[in-house]
Amino acid sequence: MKNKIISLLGGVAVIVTSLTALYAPQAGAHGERSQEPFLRMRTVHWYDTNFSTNRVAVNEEMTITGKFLLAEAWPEVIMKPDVAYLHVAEPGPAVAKVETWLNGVPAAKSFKLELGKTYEYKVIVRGRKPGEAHIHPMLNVQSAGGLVGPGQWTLIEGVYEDFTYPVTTLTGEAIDLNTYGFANVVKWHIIWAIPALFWVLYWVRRPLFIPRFLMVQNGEEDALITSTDKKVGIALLIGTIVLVTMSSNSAKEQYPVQIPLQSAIIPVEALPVTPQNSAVKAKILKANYRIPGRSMTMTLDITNGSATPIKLAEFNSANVRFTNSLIPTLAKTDSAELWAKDGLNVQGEPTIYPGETARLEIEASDALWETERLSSLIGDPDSAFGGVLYFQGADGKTYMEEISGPIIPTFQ
Amino acid sequence: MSATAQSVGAKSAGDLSPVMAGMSRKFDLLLVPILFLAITGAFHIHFMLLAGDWDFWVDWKDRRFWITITPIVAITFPAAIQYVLWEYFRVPLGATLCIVALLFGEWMNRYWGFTIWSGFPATLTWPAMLIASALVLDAVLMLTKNWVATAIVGAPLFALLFYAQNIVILAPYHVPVEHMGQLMSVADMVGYAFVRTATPEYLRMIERGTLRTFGGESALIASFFAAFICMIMYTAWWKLGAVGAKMRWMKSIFDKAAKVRA
Ligand SMILES: [Cu+2]
Repeated sequence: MKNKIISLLGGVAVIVTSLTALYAPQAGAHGERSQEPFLRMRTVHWYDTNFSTNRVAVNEEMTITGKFLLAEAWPEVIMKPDVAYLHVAEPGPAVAKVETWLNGVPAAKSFKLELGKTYEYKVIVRGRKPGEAHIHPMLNVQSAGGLVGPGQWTLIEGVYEDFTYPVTTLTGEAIDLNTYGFANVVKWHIIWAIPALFWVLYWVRRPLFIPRFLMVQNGEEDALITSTDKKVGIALLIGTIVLVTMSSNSAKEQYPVQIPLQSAIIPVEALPVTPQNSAVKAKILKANYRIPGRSMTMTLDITNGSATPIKLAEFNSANVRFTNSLIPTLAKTDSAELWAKDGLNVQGEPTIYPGETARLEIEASDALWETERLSSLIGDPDSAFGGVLYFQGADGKTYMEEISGPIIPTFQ
Repeated sequence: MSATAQSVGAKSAGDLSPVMAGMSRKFDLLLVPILFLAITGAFHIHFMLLAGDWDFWVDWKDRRFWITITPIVAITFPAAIQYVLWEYFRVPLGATLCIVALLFGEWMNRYWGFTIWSGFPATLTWPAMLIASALVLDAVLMLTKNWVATAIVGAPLFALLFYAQNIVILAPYHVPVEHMGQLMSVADMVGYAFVRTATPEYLRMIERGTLRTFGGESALIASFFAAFICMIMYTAWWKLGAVGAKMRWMKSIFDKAAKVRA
């Protein structure tokens, strides 16, 4: 019976221990499809995304640039981006962040951003772990989590052992951020392990449980702590305090200049309002999602307030691009796998002249609705969709307008 | 049936026959590793849930929350296991055994989970040191032979020594650097460079609150605050150890041991 209990406890202990050892923080960001559609369709509209390359060597840099519009139709259930952080989504640190900028402001700290405004970002990363990694720009928003931009499969070539991240401190020391300080951490963990193991062995070397238990039961407990034990205990107590004092003093001497961790939430001015992000207005009259056809149809009135004739070129929602094959679209390098090249069908007179309001019936259809799990939007609490329409101007510029509204599913 | 009645004159209840002594020793050597692994599993989970991010990341180890939370969470199991090992066996090893088990679990976890599996550099993810705190807690219990004295003297020392013992490994990370025209510590820079997708900068709680307003010595104030809470935590978990030790399986093992002796 005793053996049974012990082996059972032992088994449980070993399993529990090994499970905790395997706990790892979420390394991949590739829950991008598992996020509820409203979080992807009505929050951050990424556009003009550009990756400078799709293959880097270890220690080589890649630059990601682009813009995003923060949706005015921001869902009520999550907090506004009063605390937001420009970040990178990737599986583990396959690439290391070198620089991040938002509208020219360094993005090492968190930002307070405004809805309905556009922002321009620049992210520079450095190849670290060889292999293929899916890398995205990302905006973390407090309470909403990571809102992920278009991704790109990036090949990182070389050997990890070559990776370095050189930094020069303000005290003039050149360090490698990838390894800095760790040897010292290990050294001190080992130094402290010595008295700890001594203390464990000091007690475990003599008969432990049964005889001592019997003596305690018998009222003989005073015999169990000898005068030698007391002396060793005093030495241990004093030695520990002395070592702590000495080690901390030496560290303060060695590193006289120290600053606390730096953290702040800073405001950033948005990009200015221009005709390109404000001149075209859209009003949704009707929106349906046809489940068997995996297609969305919309009837809208478009008012062209710009000075040039425009044509609807693209509907973009949750990083999925539905483009109109009849109109040459701008060459953008968003992730190709989320591009329904022939997915946008426009009925009605395609060209809208300045000052004119035209009624368009558009259909955005592709299997991507299903594979990107956007069709589940009818399961959202408020069954609303969101996205951005991009118009191609005769002047060569792109005009954009955010749209959002309720959507009604049809089942046949 | 009790073994206690057997003790006559100078003969101690702990004097077992050679055969019994051999068996009892085998039992010791079986139980110690099992106890160690069981504590590792349970304590490590408890610690990860309550002090997780502060202990995981170098850029979370600030002068307030980290210093306050870590000792409060770390003194729990040591107090409970001290109860069992001291009250039943007079072995002043509870705190050290727990903390060594915790650090063993943490290093396994950081190495396999964070470094090998997730690919984070170890310089970002090392665990804080706690052994000095544990040794002092055990020594105080042994020397005072009294849990109340240990709660009043040992528990505050446990907390006060926490930050002090870690200065030697943390100091290099608080050297300033300039990056993108801004002032950062090396620790901030390590956290910035090695991307944790699910841990954005704002999740860190860096010296938030009002405690710092008297004097600027945030670390010292946080340590004393932790010392005070540790007294309460120590008492609570010592009592919890008492409740846990009354559980049937423990009792049955030791009743049996008593019978063997009889
Ligand atoms: Cu991805």
